Amino acid sequence: MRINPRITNSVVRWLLNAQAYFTVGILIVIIAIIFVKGFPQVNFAFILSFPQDMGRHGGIFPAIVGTIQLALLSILLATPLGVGTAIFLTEYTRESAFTKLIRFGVESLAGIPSILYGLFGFIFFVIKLKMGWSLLAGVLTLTIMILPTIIRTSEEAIRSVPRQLRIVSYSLSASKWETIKKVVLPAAMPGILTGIMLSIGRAVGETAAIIFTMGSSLRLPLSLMDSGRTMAVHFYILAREGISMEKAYGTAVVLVLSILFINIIAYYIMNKTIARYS
Amino acid sequence: MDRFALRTEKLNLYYGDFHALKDVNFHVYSRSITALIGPSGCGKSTLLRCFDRMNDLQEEVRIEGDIYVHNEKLRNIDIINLRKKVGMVFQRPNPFPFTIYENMVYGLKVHGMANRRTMPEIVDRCLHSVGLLEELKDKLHTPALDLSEEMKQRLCIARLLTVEPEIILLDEPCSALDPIATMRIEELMMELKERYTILIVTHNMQQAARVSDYTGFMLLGILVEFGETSQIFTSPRDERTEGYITGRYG
Repeated sequence: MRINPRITNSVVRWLLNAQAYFTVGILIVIIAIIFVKGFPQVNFAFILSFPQDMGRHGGIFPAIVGTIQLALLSILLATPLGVGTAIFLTEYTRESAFTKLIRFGVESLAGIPSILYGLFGFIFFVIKLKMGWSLLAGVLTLTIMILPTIIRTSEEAIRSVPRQLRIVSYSLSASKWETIKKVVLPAAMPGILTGIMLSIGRAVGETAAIIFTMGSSLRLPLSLMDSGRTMAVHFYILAREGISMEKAYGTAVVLVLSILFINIIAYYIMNKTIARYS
Repeated sequence: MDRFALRTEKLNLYYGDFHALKDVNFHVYSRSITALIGPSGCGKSTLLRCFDRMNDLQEEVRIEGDIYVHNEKLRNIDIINLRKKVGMVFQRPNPFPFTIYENMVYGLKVHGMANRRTMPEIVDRCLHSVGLLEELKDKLHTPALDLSEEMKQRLCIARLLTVEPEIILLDEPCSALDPIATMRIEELMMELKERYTILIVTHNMQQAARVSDYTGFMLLGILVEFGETSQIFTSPRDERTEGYITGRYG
């Protein structure tokens, strides 16, 4: 028996619709729960004051600062490294066993669970290099962790710059490096920025790799060798150790809002890229 | 001024094992328009690209014989200077995905030829040369990719003029344009030949007949016939040329 294609059509359309709404629905439910439970906690005092009694009272100021320091520093380290690698892979090498090996390595790095990065960071940076639990150890670990994302997105962005533009640049007698600097990178910039934004999101939300390397001190990290905690870690500890669910949800609200904010910027940049090339 | 802007002597070019140009002796008179015609794959674009060493970008290219630019051996000219002297306009209009102004000053910046104060004047002059100034003078800071195909191609020519080339190579510059836009670009070429030497590759015979002073006909890597355009199109000496022009193949 053959089912009427009109029926199949409407069933498929209904199913696909349902799937899309399901995804958005989950997001809304999660955000709703967090906001209902946490929003009453959030005010200026919560954002700007220090936690007291292990975080049972007071605010999350050091965690906010710690999050910004960690994300910013690791992005500052990972971006030149990652974009440089991407330029090397796309512009300075031909496809060979060597580039395949590098790419395989990058993909493997991307697939490693973050707790393993934490463990590595702990063994290597904290213990072996005697950094102790510190902002520096956290930054270095996170840098390694977000590097693959930056390399992959930058590589894609650079590769999508039409070859024709490079040829024109050469024909206007620009050198290879000038072409990369003045044509390829600017044209690929929106894509590269999107990758950086996504990495910031990842850095901000990370816990496992941070606890092992940056520790969880509640003090404000004032130097690279100080321990500290990020909002995600703060949330984890508050909830895990049953210190204060209200404060945990309050932290989550600030965290979710920051990630949402970063994603909105990433989307804005992505749309700009598409608008520019189509 | 030299009589020949470009000249080749016994030029042979190989892509790997493929013999793409065979003993080509060719010359381009200064301040004139020379057209290269011939069926696809005959080597006309390959020959064109020899003059600004664009073939270098491809792998496994081997070139034998001599090429002269204004009587100077091509291989003695530094590639940066060569590409400044010999500019190229491509088949598809290819402005950078930046603003019109950024496109126009790209070459100037690369060469350090102008400073911030002199740039706008050069931009205006070159846009004027291609007949775009009136339309674009208020839109200099809008994206170049928003322009029509014809205007993009004009912009590419204007961008090239900023670096003051002596010779302009055009690689089927109208194949992405409609007939009216094609006519306008052809008129532009006629104006530009007062000041520049132009070599154009085209698969459109009527175009060659309309714009060029000299025409070369190529077939299978051989320059079959070269002469004044009127002679080539009215009384070709070689029967292969006649066959192509009368449409027996191509």
